[in-house]
Amino acid sequence: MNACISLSARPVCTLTVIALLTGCSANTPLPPPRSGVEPAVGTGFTLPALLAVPPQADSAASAHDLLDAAWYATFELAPQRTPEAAAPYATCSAYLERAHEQLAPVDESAAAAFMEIAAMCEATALIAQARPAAHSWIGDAAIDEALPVHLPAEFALRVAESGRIPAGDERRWAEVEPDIKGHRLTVDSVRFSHPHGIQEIALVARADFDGDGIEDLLLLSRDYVDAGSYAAFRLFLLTRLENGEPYRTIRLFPRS
Amino acid sequence: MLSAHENAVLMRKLERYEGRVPHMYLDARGYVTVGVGHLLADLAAAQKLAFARANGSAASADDIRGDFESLLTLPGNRLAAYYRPHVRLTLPEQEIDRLTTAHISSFHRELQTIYPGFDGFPTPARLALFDLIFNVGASNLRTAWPSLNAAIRARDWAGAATHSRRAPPVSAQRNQYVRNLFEEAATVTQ
Repeated sequence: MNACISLSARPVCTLTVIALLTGCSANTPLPPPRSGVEPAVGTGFTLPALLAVPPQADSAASAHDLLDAAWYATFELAPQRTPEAAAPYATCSAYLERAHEQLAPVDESAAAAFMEIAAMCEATALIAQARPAAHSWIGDAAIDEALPVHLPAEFALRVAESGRIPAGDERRWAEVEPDIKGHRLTVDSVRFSHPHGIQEIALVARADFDGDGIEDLLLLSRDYVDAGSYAAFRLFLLTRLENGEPYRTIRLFPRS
Repeated sequence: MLSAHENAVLMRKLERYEGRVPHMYLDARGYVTVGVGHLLADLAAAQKLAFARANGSAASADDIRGDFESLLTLPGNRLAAYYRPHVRLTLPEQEIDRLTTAHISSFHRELQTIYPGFDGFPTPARLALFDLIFNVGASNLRTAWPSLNAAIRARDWAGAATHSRRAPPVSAQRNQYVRNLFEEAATVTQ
């Protein structure tokens, strides 16, 4: 069936249609096919290091295996609305089953440690269902100091909820934070400094995460403030629909 | 000056939200930390503190170096208990209290600079701002909270309550605690 459906801001074609290269719409031509666009993880994928028994580097542990593997510690988590229903959690699969209840650590000083695990569980669930991309507009785009020009404004560090950039804001990160300065940490991570904090952006994975055949990016933003205890871990699923165009957010963790 | 009551409330709340850890550990950014979120900028800062061995005797500078450098081989942002097997020294309770009091005094000076007239604010508003500055730091509080700061400059405590909410992972309970304090300040000054 030649089905093109519109899902949020992004036209999505079924794999059958992509395979036939019939195109999704006249205004959104598919990028040229790229062979060998296999899913790949980056240094921002830290779940293996958060496990009680990290998998060996040469093991064939799948993302599904990682979801069921025990974390380095058990966390007592409680739903935001029913804190009396606290229970111990030690694996991503157990956490993800109840994540919709907005689970948070009972020990509030464990909030940042748990947020990294929660972000990595969300990432691993996406990686478990990822597939090779048939097409990519990402190509060899670098994770470098120029990222704020390409990433959505939602990347901006906003600890104050009243200053949050709303989903769907069309501006770029560099437009809302023109003073940030980047410093490359590794081949796929960059540290950005600005007057009220530091962000480290790292590649978690790149693959087709939503089944439309087009390559997507999964990035982690580690948010820190100067001389304060606040630390957050945000996960962005992004795509690019045309060559050189800014990235668009498909999904954000934590959801606002 | 903070009253004894304000100081006691602050200590209790900071321990609840930031934790109270008697041994060195790594914070979310991987910095060596001890007590109630007291960051140790370098080895020399750690060696100025009165760490003790398991038998209660005073730790030497080399003992402290051992713990400090052992932590630097580990990943940051784990539960504090994760680091316990990798260190041998602890900080006595009274030393943790002394550090926390010094930390509170340091933030008090920052708050007086950011908010002229801070010492005349209602007690609940002062406690709310202490919680915020411990968590987000002086520079973020000064530059990234325009709506909150405008309300505070206007002594509009109800407005401050509205704009005091922090993003995750700050818990709903901690946000509500600060909101309640500002709302209490609004009723105190009516």
